[in-house]
Amino acid sequence: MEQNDIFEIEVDGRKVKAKSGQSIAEAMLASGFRVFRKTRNDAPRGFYCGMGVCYECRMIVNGLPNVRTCMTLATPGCKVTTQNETTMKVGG
Amino acid sequence: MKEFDLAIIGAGPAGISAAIEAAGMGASVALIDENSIPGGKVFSHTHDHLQDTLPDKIEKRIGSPLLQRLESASSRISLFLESEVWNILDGWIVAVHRKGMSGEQVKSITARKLIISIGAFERIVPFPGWTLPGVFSVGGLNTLAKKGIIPGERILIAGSGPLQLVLAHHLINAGARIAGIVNAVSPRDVLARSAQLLLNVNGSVLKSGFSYLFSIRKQGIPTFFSHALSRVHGTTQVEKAEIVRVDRTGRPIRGTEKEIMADCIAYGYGLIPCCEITRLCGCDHIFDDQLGYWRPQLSEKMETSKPGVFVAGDCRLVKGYPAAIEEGKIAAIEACVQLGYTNRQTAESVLKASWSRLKRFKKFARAMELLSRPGPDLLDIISDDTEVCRCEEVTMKDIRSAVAQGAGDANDIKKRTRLGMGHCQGRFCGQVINELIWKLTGVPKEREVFTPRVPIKPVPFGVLSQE
Amino acid sequence: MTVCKTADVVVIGGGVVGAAITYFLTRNNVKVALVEKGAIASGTSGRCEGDVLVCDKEPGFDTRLNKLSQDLFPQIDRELDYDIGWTQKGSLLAIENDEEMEVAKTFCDRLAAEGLPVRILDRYEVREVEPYLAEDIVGGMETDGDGSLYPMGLAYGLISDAKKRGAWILTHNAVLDIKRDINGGITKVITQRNEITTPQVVNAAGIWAPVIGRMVGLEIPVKPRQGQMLVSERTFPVARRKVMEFGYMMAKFEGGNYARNVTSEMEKFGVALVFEPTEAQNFLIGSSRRFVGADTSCDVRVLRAMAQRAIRFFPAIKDINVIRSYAGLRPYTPDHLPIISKTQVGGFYVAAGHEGDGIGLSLITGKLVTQMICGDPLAINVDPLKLSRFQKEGRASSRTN
Repeated sequence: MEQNDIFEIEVDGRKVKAKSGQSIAEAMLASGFRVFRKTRNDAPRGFYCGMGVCYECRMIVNGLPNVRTCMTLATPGCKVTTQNETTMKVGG
Repeated sequence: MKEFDLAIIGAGPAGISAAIEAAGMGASVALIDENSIPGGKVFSHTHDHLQDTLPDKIEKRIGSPLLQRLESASSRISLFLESEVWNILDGWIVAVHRKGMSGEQVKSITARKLIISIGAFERIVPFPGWTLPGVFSVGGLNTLAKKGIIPGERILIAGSGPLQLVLAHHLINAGARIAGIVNAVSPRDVLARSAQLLLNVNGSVLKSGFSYLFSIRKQGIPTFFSHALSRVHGTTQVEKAEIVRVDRTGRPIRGTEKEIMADCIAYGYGLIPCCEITRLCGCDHIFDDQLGYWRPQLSEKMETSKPGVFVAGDCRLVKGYPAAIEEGKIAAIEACVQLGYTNRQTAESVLKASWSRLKRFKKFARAMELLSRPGPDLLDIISDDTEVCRCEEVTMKDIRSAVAQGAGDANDIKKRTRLGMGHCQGRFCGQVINELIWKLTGVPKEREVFTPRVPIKPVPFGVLSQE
Repeated sequence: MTVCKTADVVVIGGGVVGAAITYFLTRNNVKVALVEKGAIASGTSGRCEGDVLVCDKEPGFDTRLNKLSQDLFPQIDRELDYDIGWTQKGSLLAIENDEEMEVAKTFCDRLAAEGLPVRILDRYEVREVEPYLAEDIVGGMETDGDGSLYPMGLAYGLISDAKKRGAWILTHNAVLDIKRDINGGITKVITQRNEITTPQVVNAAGIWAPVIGRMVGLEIPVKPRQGQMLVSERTFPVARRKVMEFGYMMAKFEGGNYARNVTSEMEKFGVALVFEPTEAQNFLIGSSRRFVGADTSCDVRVLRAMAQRAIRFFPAIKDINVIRSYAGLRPYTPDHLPIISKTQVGGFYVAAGHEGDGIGLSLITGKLVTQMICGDPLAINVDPLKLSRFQKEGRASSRTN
């Protein structure tokens, strides 16, 4: 991929622009997204430390939950969904 | 399994400097970093719009050549990027989790000596609303700003420490609108400590500092000394901030609250060394009263209490990148003496100059600490509804009731409330929990840390299950 | 300054067992002083999982004792003014192959004969209840009534209740000595900060029970048996409730004739699948067994073997993160049954050695000790649990490792 290549990723069904070398979080923040997930008590959370230690930016990426979007490079066509932890019920 | 003379964990200025030095002396070097490019936080990619600003010229003057030297030494330095260290066994076997899609699947790296150069992370004091989207760490927002990403129309910088200036500079150059800078230190203290800083800083850092200050004055950004963030309001994200005047110990002076319209907050009280890997290795740490945090105990040779384990850079004591580069060099040379690639005499002569430079950096570091350290009574800002443990949503009220039921120490609070049991394993809440308990019980006991356990960073079951 | 106190009974050990004993005694109007050398639930009770099971017990006395205890939990949950996270979703023993299935059917019949609500599920039914189980699992044994809770919460809740009713709770206050009169009866317990005059002592000190026992000249054969645990991040549900592998019990009960299809490391470390979803939206993976003294550090080889075994049964977890590991020390006795017993020392009782069943057996232990001390009829004949069974020649039970 060329430097400064622009492509699209999908966030909650919406198309979002991303640049090569950007993390998913960076692409989302650049497009105005702030809420990345909901806690079990339905509290909104988003990007915080930017260095992969707080796990606040975790989202479902290509079907895999708990992915740190600040540490994951955006790739063309990747599907990202807000992680809603209110539905992570114990025992199904 | 890959075997090397030296494994360096953290490819920031200290790590890169160490790698180049050691490789130059003939050692086989593994340089490990969890990011996708080397350079650490300070030499990370800078966007076009920031080119040609003075501080960045300076960073480039030092950063680019360093990265280039790393590039040219690539035949002798094995670079392991996107590799997160999750365990270290004696002897030294470093278990890495390779997150990238492509590249060889390396599971562990064996080395005779270790240099730990993982840098620092942000010091926090929780406050009401700090978990709202739109509240960023200063370092986190700085990285974004350097890439030209501005996640807000009115940015408030709060907390303390010289990093506020660096961030403000990058934001201004990216065209951001800064609503204000809020600093918990009093102007008198800032002046006094800055004087100390200036006396012990090298030319390039001095130039940068003045340049930052100048651009802030030029923009007419309101600055509030002796003030701290007391609350951030918003339903799904930051909508407005409330700041309050604080006295010299950090105690909020009720009745002096002011509102500031802001939709993005950068918040932090300076940097503290990342001790997780040194703790995992079993190194001794001391609580540095002036810093207000732990740091690994070191000999003059940058060696920790564990023979063969060295530390360099901000994860030893936060002093900025020029010092980190120097320390990386020292640690590498010392490691090479132990490895037999050079002798003590040669080492001494090379290191003499480095040692004297380091003396100045140490004073600089101390001044930075004094400029950053939050006053002990800043904890009074924490309201009952403040989530002290972000990960597990444990509020001050939960901690208070655990103490009322007899909990007297951090591990007891952890068991009762689940504080520290989330993804970050106590990296944030662990910074304040001891002091909070002492405030509630009135009994300052021995300071507790949460025992580092394998894995020190979350890794998938699949990775843990591999031979 | 030593503070002197008087109590009817001193309970030594602030884990779930000591907490339950204190709770039941206090409710029986007995003046109790609970003495704990650290913080409440800082020993084994703070390093375990919260099982309350009957599915993995030997049919007979073992199942009866555990069932009696299990039946007490719903009421305790209601009575305690503390959230202990009690859920009763039942348990599942996953059956790996046809050989195990044959044995499982017989085992199931024996448990059913004890009156337990158990049933065998075939390969379709088992996947209906636990869709994430590996494709080749041939079935399972389901047991209603099995439950789990937050073990530290249980200890805190029981003690909080006892404290409200007048029990003295002394923490960070180790027992240094136990004084006796010329007839050998208990007179005083000396701790770091107190002298407690009392005629009765209950040794509920878990892996430290032998240390306390020696203070009165008794040899108590409890030794620590380490078990490690993996903790996952909070994530979407993988299993509905507690799942364990049936094969391990076969290896335990069949005297080693059955060999599971496991690696040598799994065998060496006694690794067997235990999957426990928790209230905190994550799950715990166990289990392992080894004798390493009182060491609570984790060996990554054991963690690896446990992760492998867990993935074998639930392949989907390979992409879920482990955020932490920890190790606990089970108070093990040579015949795997606890010691709940009077002793030849007047006034000295032992309530220790519950191995991996401490949480589940805590309530019945509390009840039985209270009945012994107060002279009430016992809920169950405790002859199999006497300390003296270890003082005879040969073993009381032929259960092997």
